[in-house]
Amino acid sequence: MPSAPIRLLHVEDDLDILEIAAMSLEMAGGFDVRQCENAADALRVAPDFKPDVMLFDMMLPEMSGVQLLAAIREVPDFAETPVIFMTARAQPHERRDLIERGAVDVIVKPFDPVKLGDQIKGILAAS
Amino acid sequence: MRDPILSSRLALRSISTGAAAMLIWQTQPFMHLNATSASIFALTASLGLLMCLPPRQSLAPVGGGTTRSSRDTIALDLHALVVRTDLQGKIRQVNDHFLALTGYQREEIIGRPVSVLHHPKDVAPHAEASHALATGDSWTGENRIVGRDGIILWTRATALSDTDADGRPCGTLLVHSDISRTKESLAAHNATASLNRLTEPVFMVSTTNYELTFANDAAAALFNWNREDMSVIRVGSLPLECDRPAVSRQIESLLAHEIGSFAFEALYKGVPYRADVQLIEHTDIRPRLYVVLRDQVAVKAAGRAKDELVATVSHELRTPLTSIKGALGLIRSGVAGELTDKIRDLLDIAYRNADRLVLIVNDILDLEKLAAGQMDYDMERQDLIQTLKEAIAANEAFATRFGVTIRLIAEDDSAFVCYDADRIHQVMTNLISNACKFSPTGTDIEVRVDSDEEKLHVSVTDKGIGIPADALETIFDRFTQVGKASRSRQGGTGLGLSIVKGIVESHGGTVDLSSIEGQGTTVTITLHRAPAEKPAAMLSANRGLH
Repeated sequence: MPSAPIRLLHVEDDLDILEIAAMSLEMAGGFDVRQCENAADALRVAPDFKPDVMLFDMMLPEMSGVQLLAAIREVPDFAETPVIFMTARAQPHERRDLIERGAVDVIVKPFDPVKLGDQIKGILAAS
Repeated sequence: MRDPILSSRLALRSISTGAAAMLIWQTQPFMHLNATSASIFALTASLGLLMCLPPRQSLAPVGGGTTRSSRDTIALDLHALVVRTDLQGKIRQVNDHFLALTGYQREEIIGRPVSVLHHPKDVAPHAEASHALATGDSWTGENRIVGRDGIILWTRATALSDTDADGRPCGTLLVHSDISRTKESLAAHNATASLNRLTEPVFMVSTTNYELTFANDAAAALFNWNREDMSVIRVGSLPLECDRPAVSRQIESLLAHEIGSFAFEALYKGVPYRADVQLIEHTDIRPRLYVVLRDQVAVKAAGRAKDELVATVSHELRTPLTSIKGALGLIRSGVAGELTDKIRDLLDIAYRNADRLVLIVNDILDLEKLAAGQMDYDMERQDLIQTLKEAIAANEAFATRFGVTIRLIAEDDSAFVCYDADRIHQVMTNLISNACKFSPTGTDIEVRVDSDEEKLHVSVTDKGIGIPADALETIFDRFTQVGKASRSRQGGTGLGLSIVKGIVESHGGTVDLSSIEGQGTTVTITLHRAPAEKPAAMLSANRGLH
């Protein structure tokens, strides 16, 4: 019996990247993806969607990915939910900083769409 | 009606004795001066307006003379430096003003070649003067007189052939007006105009009494200086908080030419400044200390703005590249349907070039970080051989594409160095991919590790086209690539070796390159072995690493 799909909440303000990520994860299989263009939408959608993992862009309008992480951790249901950042800003100190703030890992842009699904599954397995 | 035309000729009598010189004028047919004009000419000459003459004023041979008033002569003698030479160019007469300004004693300069007064950089004016005199002309222009103890005087000079009382040539007459002050003023004026445009405070200080000699607008505004009377301003009394004894020592070293410049930190009204000090010894002006103050708060703000720009550019370029690469990658994977070979070939080209753009963006950002000292390093004591193996494995597919084989030759199974594995991986990838791109198909690339007690030498050798000797000097410069025409085929950015050098040097190591055109290239990076214990000590030894 196939295992339940991984519910993934993806927050990204670039519509093209949203579409590519959706196609990548569909191709990989095993994901139930919900996408939002900003942090406010993500905070509204999350309680009903109950994601298993969240994938945040860093530079979001109005509220950054880091601020979204802090906000979502305030919601009791998501205090421990794995958060992965997807960002072009991934110097070692930036990566360390995100992990210290509670992210499980960082995926560097540009990402490989063929490997994205496996990459996320690998991070979840290791966390 | 025009008076009989006069030619003029200056001759000085009795100047060697310091007595009043006499001006002798002669009538000649082609100088458009009447008797009154001649008198004016004498005065203007004595007032230093000889410079108004055209550079090469024709003069006829001198015949009998007319003695002018002794007042003219006195005026000229007080104003100008006068030298007479014999036909061999030896000094036979000088006036007192010459002695006063050059510091020579009469007895030590008489009989010496006039060339002892010449400045080595005045070859052109002296050649012009010699030519003019040889063709019967006079010469007027600017030159320098080198006085006793190296004193340099800028002068406006006139040289004319001299004749004796019988009209026979007897040497050269040289009349010089001292224009050093004018030169200084002009230099200061030019400097003022450009320095006033600077937003940074700049001032100049005399090296003899530390009197302020110049302040630009920004400095005058900052220190509330009245530039109408700068001589009363002593820079030493500025309320700058700094290590004064240390600054004094540095100034002494500067004046002794032990150092070329120095900088010190100072606080003024609570604002931190960096003061850069240089000694200016331009020949046109007297030596001065040139001080530039830089507001460190503003410098740091500018640094932050640059960081932000780099981060923004990074983000703004990578975001569309993510979409381009993502879309192409998905199509290539077949998710959008079956592809014909032709479409796949075209997609491969697009994908490869999107990759290349990503590399260029990454390389430029890396270089910016290296230049700003902001490259981030995760330094750990680890096995370099392991990282080399990983780098070789990561580049094997690339090597296969070029039909070459990478071989690792290491005496030891492990070699511990304190380094950032990602960055050294990046260095090796750069070196190996370079070697692949320029190697003939079927050849080997050798990655060799040699070691001694203190250091490890990792060399990457190819049997490729090599680098011409004249290109070796610039090979580590940005955007340098041998054979630029081949860049698109080889796919490099020309930034790789600059990055390699920057990263390796940040690790306290060195990069050496040797190459023989047509035979191949070896790039060797040398890193210090990590101590067997206390890796933390090694970490702290790597200055400037985060």
